[in-house]
Amino acid sequence: MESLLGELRQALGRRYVMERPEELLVYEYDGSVERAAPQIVAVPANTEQVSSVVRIARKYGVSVVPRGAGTGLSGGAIPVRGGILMPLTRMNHILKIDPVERIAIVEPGVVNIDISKAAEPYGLRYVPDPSSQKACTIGGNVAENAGGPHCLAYGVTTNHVLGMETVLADGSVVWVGGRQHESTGYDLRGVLIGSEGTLAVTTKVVVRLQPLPEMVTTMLAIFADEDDASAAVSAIIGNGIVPAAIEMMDKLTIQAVEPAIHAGYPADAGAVLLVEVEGLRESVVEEAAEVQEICRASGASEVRVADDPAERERLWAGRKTALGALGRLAPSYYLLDGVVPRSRVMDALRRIREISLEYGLPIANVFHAGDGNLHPCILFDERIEDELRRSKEAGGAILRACIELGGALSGEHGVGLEKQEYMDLCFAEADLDAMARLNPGFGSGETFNPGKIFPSGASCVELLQHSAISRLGLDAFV
Amino acid sequence: MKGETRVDAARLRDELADAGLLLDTDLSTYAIGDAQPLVGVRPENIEGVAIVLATASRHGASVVPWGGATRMGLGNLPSSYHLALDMRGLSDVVEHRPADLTVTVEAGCTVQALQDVLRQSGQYVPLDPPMPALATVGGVLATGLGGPLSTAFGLPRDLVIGMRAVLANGSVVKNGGIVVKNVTGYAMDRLYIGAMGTLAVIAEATFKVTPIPRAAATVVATFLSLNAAVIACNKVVAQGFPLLAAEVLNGAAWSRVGQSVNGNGEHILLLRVGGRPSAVARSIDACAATCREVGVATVESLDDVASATLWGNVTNLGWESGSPELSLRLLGTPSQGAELAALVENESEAAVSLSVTRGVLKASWVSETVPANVSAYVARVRESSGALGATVVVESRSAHEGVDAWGPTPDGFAVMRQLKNEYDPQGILNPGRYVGGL
Repeated sequence: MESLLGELRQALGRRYVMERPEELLVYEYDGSVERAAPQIVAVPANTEQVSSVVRIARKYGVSVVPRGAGTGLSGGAIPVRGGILMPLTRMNHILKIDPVERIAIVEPGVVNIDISKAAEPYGLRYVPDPSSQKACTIGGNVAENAGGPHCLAYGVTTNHVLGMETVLADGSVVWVGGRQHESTGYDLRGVLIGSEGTLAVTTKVVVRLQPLPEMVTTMLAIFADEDDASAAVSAIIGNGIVPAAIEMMDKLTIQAVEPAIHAGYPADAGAVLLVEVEGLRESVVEEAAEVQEICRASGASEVRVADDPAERERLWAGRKTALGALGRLAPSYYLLDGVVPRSRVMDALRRIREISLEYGLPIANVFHAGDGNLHPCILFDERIEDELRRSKEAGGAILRACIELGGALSGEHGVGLEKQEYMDLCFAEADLDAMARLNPGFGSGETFNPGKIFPSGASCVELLQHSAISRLGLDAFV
Repeated sequence: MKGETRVDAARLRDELADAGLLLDTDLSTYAIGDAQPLVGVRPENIEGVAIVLATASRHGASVVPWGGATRMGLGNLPSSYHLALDMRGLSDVVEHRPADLTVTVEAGCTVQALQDVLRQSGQYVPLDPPMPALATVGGVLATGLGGPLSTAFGLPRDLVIGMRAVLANGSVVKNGGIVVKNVTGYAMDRLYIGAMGTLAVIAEATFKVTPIPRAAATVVATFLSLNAAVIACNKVVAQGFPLLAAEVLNGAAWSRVGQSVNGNGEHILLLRVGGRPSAVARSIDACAATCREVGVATVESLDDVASATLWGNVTNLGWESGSPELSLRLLGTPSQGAELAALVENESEAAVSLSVTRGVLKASWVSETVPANVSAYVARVRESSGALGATVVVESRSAHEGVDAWGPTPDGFAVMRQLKNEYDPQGILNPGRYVGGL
């Protein structure tokens, strides 16, 4: 351990290598309900230092877990087997905005929204917009193949990344893809995106930028119940309109949001639909009119419309603060990410209501209705015995329901620790075996983010043994 | 381990005949160059494909998957070729879910047959390979190449949300599913797409589909220089018009798609826009105005019907009579388009079509215009392109031995080689066809 630390300090400088339990504490969490502490935190400043950390880790047989902003919701940044946690947040430079090639070249620690901010003066933007876009980093987005509300019309991270510079497990630096739209050889870029940091570390990203739309109109429609709102979603798509975003909030979410932001949602509202259309003025005006008509015909009691940025922001406020507002209803929540074919959203919501009753836990739904990506949010109180366990069981029941409806475990958050034990609901052994062979292909071994994605059989108790709290003792905080 | 050619053809044939898969047609239709297979099979379903590959694997027999054969000229000659696997028996559109905007289709289905089904619901999958009546979905995915519509929709890989494939050992594997957003497990389809059938045989794919735009039209603007055409195109893109495709053709290409050519150095910018009729109308006017500002010889617009015919011809450029005598694909960046075009135009009579927003250029030659020494010519273009960081792929080279189809191995090649060893340890899938002998 001492010589490992020594070599890391030599490579990165003393202050960027941490190992005291109180220093490690903040790194045992991410946005998920899981936790585990690393033995060492090493914070590299550039590709060369990333490569050094990886080489040193390899030499000592220690694993490396890359970490961005720690906003991930599936435990992707939890160092479940200890080892070295490697935050990439010092590598936060936008290296280039190229309006001619319509690309940005950025380091992995750049915050998602900062790319669009830097591109805006050129009339360009980076489209994928995870709800955490003000905090989450592009490196994390690449690792999880992140989505966001506006992926309905434009696709997810993989559709917007042309290439990455990566560090492999032997410390070598390799470009996958690049600035070209087409290239020869296997699409290593495509398999690394969404591989949850298990195969390589991303050290630079080339993203495509899109022209800003001429006009954007946001509509907020209030419905008496979820079924009417779901019917409106189907009718919009069925009418040949693919909006930039269609988001839904259910009754429970509305009840949490209203006292927080005073949006003026009626007390008896059963569902709120947010629909955004954008593009050329003519088509936006027409599509917005049709969307309003469809919503009213589907039973919307009210449709609010905004086309200037401030007004639009107000309509989005409820959606964007929803998760925070749910804290008013319960001290903890477990946010799921199941996805179903968009025509089965109504069925999925019904199953979730049943599961809520069965497990005696309230479940709020705030989600990407247009592409069937549900975010059931199970509300619980960790202090009440059994509620964490029951919420996880309810989560399992919801994931099973999604699979039964033809869906999948995760639309945009990743499998991580959270859903690894459910992978065999989706995949046969042969499917998982084919996936597992990527690891020797990349020569990754146990080097990167071990213990993720694939079923492990490990229990939560094992995870907690790595916790810094257990090493320090609870008294340390008194 | 590899390059083993002692295959017991009689036993291989018997076993496949017992499984009811054997083809008794003339195997010369499955020839690649001079190489002809010992055996041909045509399974009707994915289980049949699995039996074929398990059998081939047991015999160490090398397998070349076949679709519509429209791009069999792409890639190096196989280093070994025992068994032709005709995938066209898997030709079903398995399920179209119009309300979900998804479709699941077998690999042997032609692109046109798929579009015919989708059109009944006012939808399409934005794939536009040459010869869509022959090109199969599996072939388009195995080659992974984009067409003009990639300007708006990205490459074929960007449209796929799920896949079933058969590995070299006969194991049937799937990834993804029928939902449009999915990060459950590794994106294995990305590995198989564009891998030229060297890692797995694609048997079924699920695509995102999209509504057919209510209106579409094309601006045809003739410029006296390539640069002017590219500048005009970039100005249009920056204004955010809903471009479905944007190609610049040189005079030779323009006459090959059946249009008349006046003089020297003319380059024709084709801008296809789609969407609401009102938006298309303004886009067309604004695109034409932008072209005039830049300085144009002539500009006109074509309605949807006329433009559909024109784009069909543009997509087929080089494939007018089967496959091209010689066709190169130059893979650069958007800003390199004009330079790349100049490279091929300077010393030959290539028909050139440049996808401006993607920096991908197609150059093709008919037998009368093919450069005298193809091998030396390709080497020169490769050298100059390489200096720009661009790659040159020989898309069709059937008549020209001694030219490597892919050029230098890309970064990450060691990983690719290792992946090939993992997924096809015996090296029986399309051996030697892909870059660096993969």
